[in-house]
Amino acid sequence: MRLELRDVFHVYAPGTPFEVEALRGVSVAVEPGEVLGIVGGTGSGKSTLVQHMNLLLTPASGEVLVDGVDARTVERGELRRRVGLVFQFPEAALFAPTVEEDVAFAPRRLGLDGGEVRTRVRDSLEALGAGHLAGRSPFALSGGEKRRVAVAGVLAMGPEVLVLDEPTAGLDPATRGDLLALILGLKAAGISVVLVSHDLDEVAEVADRVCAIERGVVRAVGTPAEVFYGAAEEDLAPATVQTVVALGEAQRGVGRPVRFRETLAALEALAEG
Amino acid sequence: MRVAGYDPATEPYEVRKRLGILFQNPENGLVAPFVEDDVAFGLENLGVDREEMRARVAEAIEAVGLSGYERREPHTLSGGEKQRVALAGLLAAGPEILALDEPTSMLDAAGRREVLGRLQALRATRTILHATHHLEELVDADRILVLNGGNLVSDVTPARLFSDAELLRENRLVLPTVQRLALELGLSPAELRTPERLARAVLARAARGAGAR
Ligand SMILES: Nc1ncnc2c1ncn2[C@@H]1O[C@H](COP(=O)(O)OP(=O)(O)OP(=O)(O)O)[C@@H](O)[C@H]1O
Ligand SMILES: [Mg+2]
Repeated sequence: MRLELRDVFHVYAPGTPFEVEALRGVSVAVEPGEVLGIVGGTGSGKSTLVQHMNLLLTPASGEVLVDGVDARTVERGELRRRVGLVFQFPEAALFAPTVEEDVAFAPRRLGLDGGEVRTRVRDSLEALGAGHLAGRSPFALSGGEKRRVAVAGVLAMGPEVLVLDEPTAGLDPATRGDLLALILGLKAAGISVVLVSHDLDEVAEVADRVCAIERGVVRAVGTPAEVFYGAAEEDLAPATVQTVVALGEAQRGVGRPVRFRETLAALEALAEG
Repeated sequence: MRVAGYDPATEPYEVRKRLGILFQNPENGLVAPFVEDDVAFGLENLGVDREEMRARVAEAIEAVGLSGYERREPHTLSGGEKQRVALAGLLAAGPEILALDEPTSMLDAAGRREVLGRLQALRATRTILHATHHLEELVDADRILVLNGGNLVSDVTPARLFSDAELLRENRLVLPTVQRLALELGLSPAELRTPERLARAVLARAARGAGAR
């Protein structure tokens, strides 16, 4: 599925002294089967932007299009199923007595039969490496385990686009690595993933394209190399890119690697002459 | 357990005066209707007088870059803004011991640098416990305690930890990107802490190679 935001504006608390223009004419598309990274400073509008993708927030003006069709004409439940949204700190919303029931909640509401719900619950917990937690209470899990369960709950709806808002914030490296592997696995299965993150190193590893936003405006969209090398001096580049840029003159022979492996190979070639 | 000599079970008030905690999920710490009340909350319990309280709150809000947010409702803030409010509360109270759980998890690069800089400055007069999975935030620590499965498995300097591949692996710790690049290139990860230093080391090696040929 192709999801497009066209010239979207969003205003919080309009007409009050605390009015905030959080999005000011944002246009960006999520192409079928791609991983789109969204980066930008604190309060730049990332969470606001992604909540427009399933119309959890509605634009003050501008459009959201699902395969070219106005998203408002798509039935709400249908839209929420097709565009799955995992919030910042999603574990705060876990509520059921067992992990299994928590993950089953959304698919059951879709009206699926019991067998199908069970299959989905099992598959999504397994995809998150959390199959063994099914019978546990979500409240007695570690932070990383809770995060896995919360993501599984959205995955169980069978989304065509999975939107993750800071999914790895505060996570241990093992859980973080598993989540990044999951993102690439979903992509291989044709599911689009939107990844909002402050961790530019992880965006560099998995994103096909990057959208950089600043104070509610899209500052750059393009391949990771285009966006990160374009912004290397402005705090918006992963450590790999910063290292290559710091080579100065010598950078010319190295190209514009972004991922860890590519960067390592390029630096090795340079060092060996 | 004793905190500055006090038992938290029998003298929680004395402990709270001296120890401030920043929770991992900033939402868990925000309690008041407005940002400024939230930042003042810790101070109210310390019996600080009104005037001084107002000054310290204003100063802390300014320090975390949230001037103008005083009358905002905490639940309407972005993730990083919430984390800054929680931190301002801690700065205003100014306890002897600060315990921080992933204090920069929601911040952008500039915010992270600011907070780390502030913690660095506080070290002269305070004790800081900084829990994190991001080892780059601990490069200047006096000591790093490595925990695994509820046990203290190591008490080392950052330089030791960064060059001990086995200790890292056993505890599933991942070096920061720059140090990982250094290690894979056969350079010393403990010394090459910034992209600039790594780049210089790579260039130096290339020059040596060229000279030898
Ligand atoms: N419910 C709300 N009411 C009023 N203002 C809001 C509300 N939610 C967000 N804002 C404001 O809108 C701006 C954008 O917020 P948003 O949460 O989209 O930022 P973000 O890029 O996700 O930031 P972070 O990286 O800190 O999570 C911020 O200035 C924030 O204070
Ligand atoms: Mg956000």
